[in-house]
Order: sequence, then structure tokens, then C-alpha cells
Amino acid sequence: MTRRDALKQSFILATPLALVGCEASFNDAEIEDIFSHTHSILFPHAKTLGCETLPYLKIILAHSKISQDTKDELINGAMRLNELSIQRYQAHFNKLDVEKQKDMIEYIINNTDFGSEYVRLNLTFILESLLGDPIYRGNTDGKGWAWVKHISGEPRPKRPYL
Amino acid sequence: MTKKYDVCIIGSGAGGSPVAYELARAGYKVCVLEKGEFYTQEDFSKDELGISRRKMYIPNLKDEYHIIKQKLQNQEEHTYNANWNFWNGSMVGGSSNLMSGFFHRLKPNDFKLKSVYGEVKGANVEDWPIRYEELERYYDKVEKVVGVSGKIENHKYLETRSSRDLPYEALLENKTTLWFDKAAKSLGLHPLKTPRSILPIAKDGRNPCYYSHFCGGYPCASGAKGSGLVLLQSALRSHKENLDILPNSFVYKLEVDTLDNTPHIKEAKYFNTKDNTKHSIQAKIFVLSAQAIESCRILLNSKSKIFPNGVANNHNQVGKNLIFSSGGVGSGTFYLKDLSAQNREILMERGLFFNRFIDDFYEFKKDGKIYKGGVIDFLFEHPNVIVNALEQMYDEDDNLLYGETLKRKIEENLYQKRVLNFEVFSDYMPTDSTFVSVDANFVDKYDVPVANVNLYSHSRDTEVGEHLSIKAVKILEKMGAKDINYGVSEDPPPNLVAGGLRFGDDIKTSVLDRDCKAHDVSNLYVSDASFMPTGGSVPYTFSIYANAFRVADAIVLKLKYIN
Repeated sequence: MTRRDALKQSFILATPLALVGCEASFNDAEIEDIFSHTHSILFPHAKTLGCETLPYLKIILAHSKISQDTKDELINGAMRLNELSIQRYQAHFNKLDVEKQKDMIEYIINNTDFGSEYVRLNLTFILESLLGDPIYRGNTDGKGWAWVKHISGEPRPKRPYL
Repeated sequence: MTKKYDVCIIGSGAGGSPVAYELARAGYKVCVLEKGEFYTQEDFSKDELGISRRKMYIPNLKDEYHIIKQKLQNQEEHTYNANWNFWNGSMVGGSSNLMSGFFHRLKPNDFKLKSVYGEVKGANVEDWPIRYEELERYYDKVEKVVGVSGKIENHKYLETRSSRDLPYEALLENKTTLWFDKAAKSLGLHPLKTPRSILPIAKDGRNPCYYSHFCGGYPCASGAKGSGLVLLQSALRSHKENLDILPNSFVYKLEVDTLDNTPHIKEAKYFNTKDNTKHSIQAKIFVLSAQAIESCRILLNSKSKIFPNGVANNHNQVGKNLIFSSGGVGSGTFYLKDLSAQNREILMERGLFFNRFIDDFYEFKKDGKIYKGGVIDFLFEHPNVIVNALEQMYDEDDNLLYGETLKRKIEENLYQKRVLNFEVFSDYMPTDSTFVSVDANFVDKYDVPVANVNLYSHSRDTEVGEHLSIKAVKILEKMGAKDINYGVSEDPPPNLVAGGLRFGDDIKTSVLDRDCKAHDVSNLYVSDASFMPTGGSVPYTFSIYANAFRVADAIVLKLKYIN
């Protein structure tokens, strides 16, 4: 198992795993934190609504119908964002102030081969989280629907499809 | 001891369910093998994430894929391995659970396309071996048994009917249909109410339509939609002792034997998809109704000494002349800011249908020649909120938006407008380049060769699609819609597939006889869209149902003869 494979696995399974001996040292909590900060930059309105988008991203990273390529792009994207942050600002992405985090997001969109897709995927799952059924845990109390004045179809699901 | 059935039906959708319904009610022992789950109305919801985004009702493409090879009109060739989905609904009732239920009949000329409109260079257009009159009473039966609502209005291309009108009144309509009617009439056209396989009233244990606002693409929680599921449930209520439905049963091979020197199917072999165990079913008659591509695949994978190239394929016709529905799609937008308060309210009213279609272009004249055209259906854009939000993710220059900019764009667009779509349905030319094959080098998770789907859209397909789309655009313009656009693509719609197992009178050019029995197999019938030599210019489901009731009658006669 490669270092990145191990990291992906660790985040998906949510089991602690510390890795040493590389430029940047990670653990699963740190990757989770990178996603959390990424989401705060990409769509801060989720927090304003009182919705958490990270639990849904964890569902996606373990979902049977999400391709391994997509899962890889998400995890690798977070790791590369952090690596570039260290190169550019000599600090982990999570430790940057908001303006520098925004700059990093712009930087990866405009200057890397992975940035646009990393941002697109995260935005996709942020919006799925906010506007999907609350049973998937992102659209807390239907606040995402209320934001866009959406009325859901009935009946609503009794259980999530995972 | 293995239970032996009179009839084993493979697939439970619009092709299989009427056969099961008729034969179980006629007193025969019937077994239905369905690959998917047995859901009921209590299981159904409008879960956009599960149904629309994660495709919960179709197999996982990484486990069960297809190889798609597409040849374009400019001669470019592309191959798609496991990233173009042609599954449509694995569950009891099949993809009829998810249909919109636009139930247009084929017209008399659709049964004799070659005779009436002539040959098309580079296409294998053939007349059907039966005429409209032979299918008419079965269309009539579907309207009554499955249930079709609407109102028949006389017009130039109205097909002959044994019942003057549809048995169920039209569903409630959004009043913007009046805007449409006015615009169409001012252009000299005849706006018509779209017949829908949706009940406005309760019937036989089915509840009426409750105008859920989320119809097409979603299973129906009231049973109002005329799915194969409701037919099977009806048969289970009245003749449970005659009908066994085995869900999670993936048929991968038909075993052939000879009886009185004639090949016949001895048993169907299948996997229980829950535990991957292998099983088999024996029956006097087998009916294949797994949808066109999968039915071809099962026959091609059923190789034996008698049929070294697959069952019923000694003349190499299995899989050939696959067709789709051709046409185009387009839309126009109505913005709330452009409308009066009253019209805003009308436009945004939830649930009510926009049931309108135009049949004026069933034929059209160009350069002195009469061409076969098609039908144009109009419907509101699907109200799925996630997909509408995702569409806001880019600006006009294709730059990714995020943060406050994206939030504002979503707020400015969602529920601030309503989009009226149109869908053109026209004939897809059967050609030598559109067919199904199998290759032992590409297998699914069960180690069964997957379907290779070879695609080519004839230039006639796109020409007709273009012609009709322009006509539809003129109606939207007249209605005052904004941002009008349309597209005509060489990519076929995977949910509108037919052909591959043509019926005909010549064993050298067809797989099935006029009763849809394999020419050279004594007990194998096919009942899905694969029998069609040409598909007409309407969605297929109504004709699949009608032909399935016709095939059921032929099987009853056969069983009487056998017994």
C-alpha cells in the first residue's frame, strides 16, 4: 500500500493513522481538516445556514456508487493542496489565514492540473449535502431547502441509500 | 425436486409483466425471474440523491459494465469502457417504474416504413410482418388494463381507434398550457393533450395520481403510474397461486436441448445476486423480456453445439439492427421578473402537468419529397433541485464559481424562472453499424461476457431531428420564452432502445417470427422492444405493452396445443 493509498484508507475508515518521514506529515484528522477549510472557502453559506457538509463527504468517500477515481481525486486533491500550501507559504493549508486559503484555492484552479476538478467535486458534494434529503445529514432540519425555497417531493426516503 | 413451470419469464418490465399477468390469470403456472429487487409502493420515495444522483435502481457500472463503441458521422470512432450507462431500471416492473408514461400509439405507416417512404441509403429499413390493425386491439387493451388518461382529439394523423376516446379523463394541467395552445394555433398547428399512462382516479387497488411534482425518473408511490409492477401486483392479488416472482435473479444462460428434432430451451440458468449462488428453472415456454440489449446479450452468451454463436443465431441476426429513438431536445425559459403576479402564480404552480404534444409533423415535405417526421412532446423541466443548483457552478465564460458569487447565482436562478422543454421523437435508422455483440475478454463480476454496444447514427436521424426541433423552437418563440436553445445529437438515448431481435417472415433476415417466437426454437418467445424492425417516432413503452399482450395470446394458444 502506498503512502497515499494508506491516507485515503485512513480517512475513509476514520481510523487514526500517523505517517512520518515525508515532506509533510499527515494524519486522517488533518485531511479532514483540509476538507473542512476547503468547504469553508468554497461555500461559507453552509455554516451560516447551520449545516455541516463534512459528514456527507464522508458518506461519499465510502459510497458504493462513487467511483474510486472520484474518491482518489478528492483525497489526492486535498493532499496536493496542502503540499502546495507548504511550498508557497511554508505552512499547512489548515494553518493559513482565510485570505491565504482563498489565494491557494485560486492558485490551484488556475495553475494546476488537479485544482479545478478538486474544487468542482467539493462544490458538487457541498450542494448535494445542502439540498439532498436531511436523512443524509447535511441538510439539517431542511435548512438548505428553506434557503432556496425548495419543497421536496413526497414521500421522503425512510433510509439513506449508501 | 425442481419445480417446473408452464412459463418462465426473464425480466418483469413492460414486456414481461403483461405476459405474466395474462398467463397467470389464464390458469398457467408462471415464474418471473427479475434481476433487481422487489420494491413496492411503500418503499418508493422522491429521494433525489439516491434515485437521480446515485442511480440506486441500476447496477453499479464498475461491476456490470458495457463496452460502447461509437462511430460518428464524420467517421471518428470512440470507445467507452464502463463509463456510459445503458442500464435502465433493475427492479420488479423494470424501467416502466421510472417512465414519464407518454403513451402515443404507432401509426399505420410505422408498420410499413419501407413501402410508404422508400428505402434509405445506408439503412436497413424493413416493413413489419404485421399491420397496425393487428396491434390496434392490444393498444386498446393497454389503455383499459394498464390505464391511459387524456383526451383524443381528431387531427390529420390520428390513427384509427376501436374506442373513440381514452378510458380515463386527462390529468390536471398547468394553465400555462393555454399559452402554448394559443401560440401553436397562431402558427397553424394543432396542440394536443399528451396521453399519459397515469391514472387520475383509483382503480384495482391503485391510488390516483397525487401530483407529486416528481414523476418522470421516479417510481410512483401511489400506483397511479402504469408500471409493470402494478400489473404484477394485480395478478398476485387475483391469482397468487399461479405466479412466482423471484427477484435478485440474474439470468446468464439459456440451456438448449432438442425435442422431436427441434431445438428447445430446457432451462434458464441464473445467479441469485444476493449470495452469488447458481440456480436453474425449467419450463415449457420461456419468454425473454430483459430489454433489448440484455436480451441480445443473454442469447449471444447462450452458446451450445446446436447454436455455436448463441441461441437462435445460426443466421447471425441476433443483436443486429439495434435502434433507439432519434430526435432532439430543446428548451425555453420563462422568468418570473417578466410576468404579472397572476402569471407568476400560474407558472410556478406545483405538480400539475404540462401535457401537450404536436403531431403536425408526422410527415413533412422537403425538396418535393415526403419524409417521415415525428412527434414533439412538451414538458416542464424536471424539478430536481440539486441538478439545477449544480448548473449554476460556472459563469458564462466557463469559470468555476464559488463562495458568495455562487450563492448569489443560485439564489438568482432557482425558483426565479421555469423552463419548458421539448423532446422530439423520430425514427432511428437501423444500420449495419448499430448492433450488440459479446466478447469473452470483457466480463462482469459474474464472469459473464458484457454487452458490446456498437453505435452509429445515420445522417437521416439528425436531419429529421433538426427539422422538427426548429418547428418546436418557433412555438417557444411565439410563447415569449427566453434563452431558447436546442440540440440534435448523434448520441442515442439509452432509455429508448429497441431492435436487435427483429421479427419477420424470413429466418435469414430476422430472429423471431410474427408471434415473436424464435424461428428455430420451439419454446422461446421474446417480449420487449427488441422485436421491432423500426421503432416509429414515439416512445416505445406503449407498443411494448401492446405487443406483449399480443404475444401472451400466442403463448396461450401454444400452451393449449402443448397440453
